[in-house]
Amino acid sequence: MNERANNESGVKDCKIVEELLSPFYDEELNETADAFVQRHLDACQDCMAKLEEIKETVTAINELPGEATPERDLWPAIVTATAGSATPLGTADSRRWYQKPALLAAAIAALMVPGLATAGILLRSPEPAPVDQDVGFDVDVPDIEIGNLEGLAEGLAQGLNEAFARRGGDFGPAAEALIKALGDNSAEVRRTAARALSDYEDQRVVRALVDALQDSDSEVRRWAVWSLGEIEANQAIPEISQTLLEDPDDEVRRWAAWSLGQIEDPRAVLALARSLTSDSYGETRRWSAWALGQIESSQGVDALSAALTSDDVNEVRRWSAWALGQIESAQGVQALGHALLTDQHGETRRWSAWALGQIESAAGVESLSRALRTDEVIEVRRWSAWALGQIESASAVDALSAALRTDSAWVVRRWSAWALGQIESRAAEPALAEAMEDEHPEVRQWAIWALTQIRE
Amino acid sequence: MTSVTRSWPWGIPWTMGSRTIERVITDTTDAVNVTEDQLVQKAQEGSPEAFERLYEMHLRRVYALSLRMLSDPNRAEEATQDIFVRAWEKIDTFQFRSAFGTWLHRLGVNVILGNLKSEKRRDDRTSPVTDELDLFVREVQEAMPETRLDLERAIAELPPRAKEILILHDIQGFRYREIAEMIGTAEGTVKSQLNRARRLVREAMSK
Repeated sequence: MNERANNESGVKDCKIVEELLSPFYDEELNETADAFVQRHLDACQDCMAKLEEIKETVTAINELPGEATPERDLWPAIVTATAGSATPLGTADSRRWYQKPALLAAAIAALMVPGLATAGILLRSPEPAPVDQDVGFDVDVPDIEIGNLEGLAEGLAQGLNEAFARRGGDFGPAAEALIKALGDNSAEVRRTAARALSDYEDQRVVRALVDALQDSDSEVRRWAVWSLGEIEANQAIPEISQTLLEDPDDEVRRWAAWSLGQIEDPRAVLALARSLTSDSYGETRRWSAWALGQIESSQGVDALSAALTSDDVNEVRRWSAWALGQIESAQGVQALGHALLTDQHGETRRWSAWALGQIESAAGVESLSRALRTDEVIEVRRWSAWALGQIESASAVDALSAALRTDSAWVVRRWSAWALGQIESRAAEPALAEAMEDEHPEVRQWAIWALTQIRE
Repeated sequence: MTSVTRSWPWGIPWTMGSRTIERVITDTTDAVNVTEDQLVQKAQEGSPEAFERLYEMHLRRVYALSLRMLSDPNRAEEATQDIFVRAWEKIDTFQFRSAFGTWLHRLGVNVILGNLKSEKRRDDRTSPVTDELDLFVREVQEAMPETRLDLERAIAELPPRAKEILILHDIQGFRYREIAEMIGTAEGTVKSQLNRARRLVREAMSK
């Protein structure tokens, strides 16, 4: 009788305990309930087995990766979504924001142009330009939101162009009028016209813009060279190159470099190389490096290598490293290796590592291995590990194994594991086996992946 | 500044995954030596570059959360965008009491739960239909090549509330009380739903 009662109460307990197992495992029960479950578990193997099952399930879920890569680049949409807010992240394309700081000046200039009123109305037309229409700004206020202003300038220009296009088609009276406006007495008008002509891909427009490169006003020249880049006028390369090398204004030369990078025509390489190694203005040199990376001609490698190892502006060296990675010529390896080990600027070292991984030459292994062992910046070590995985040379196994064992940053260990899996050398097995004990689950996971690769 | 298309078998350091990623070389002067707190500070002062860097650092975690909670790649991308837009708008309110990542995730969970709530009103579905699940599984395979697909699928098939609670607890690491507050329910409900969710996952796995 007593036994039967015990059984009954035991079964009843099991039901209660089953409901409590999850919170018990999570340590979310109060003391009394916790003690009750514990007592029951000590006596009931069934419930103990159920607890084990929960433990297994939760452990498996815990070990799922915490990171996932989306298919698209989400950043542009984020920037666009903030365009109408009080603090925009930029305009629809933040890269354009960066590439065209001159638009700030244009927005202010446009305010002084008679066409502004029309443009303002256009912005309120049924299909508004992508810009916050209610943005009230005052040119006298010093802390203007750059993003807003830039958006406004874009909007103004777009409005003007749409108006012209509506009136005149692709080339017609509107373009004709704009070309004529390039000869206007007012520099403000000539600037606006030079900017607005960027939407007309026409020989006559290109010729007029080329003429405007000789304008006495530097802002007009700057807009003209910018428009030529927007149009991608490859027939104007000699004139743009001449502007790049000879214009007295720093900003005009800088935009000439940008323009040549937009056009991406290898005929511009010699001028860009000269600009990169001799221009007195750092920003021009930087954009010349960028343009050479865009064009991807191996003729640019010597100048880029020289700039990478000797320019005194950080950004010039960094972009030179990037450009060398774009070009992917083995001739760049020596300079990149040197920069990787000696540059004072962390970003330059990081991009040098990236570039060496792009080039995939075994000649880069030694400097990458050294950087992996000794660089004080985590990102440099991480990219070095990545680059070694790209190169896939067995001579990197020692350095990667050492990094996997001892690097203080788990991301470096993770990328070392990945790189060893890429190299597929059996010599890496001991370090990878040890990595199973790594404190970070991603390192352990990638070590398993790497071992599978090696065995396959 | 330019965007660079790169395609490697396993992605590049900030985007581990087997897909082509279009990312941008960002201009944060010597960003490698800047701490996360410094980046947050700069972002609070209005620097888009600093915020973009934070985005790069946290994108993949936020996307993983969205993808699992919503079991739909398109909605997950939208939610991820919403989360970063909100983070930018609200970054002034971050007071360095926790890690930025913790703050961002909490905000992310709120955004996702808000989205789910408004969707439930519109469409009273219980769990994703098969087509959507297949799409989800394909996306998971691409987005997290190292994951366990059977387990991901079992979680995706849970009833919505049980799924939310399981993810928030077993993946995101929130406590019962916190979850109850977030989704506006009693702690007892969290307890029983989590228990049920784990049981269902276990059953699905042993099928």
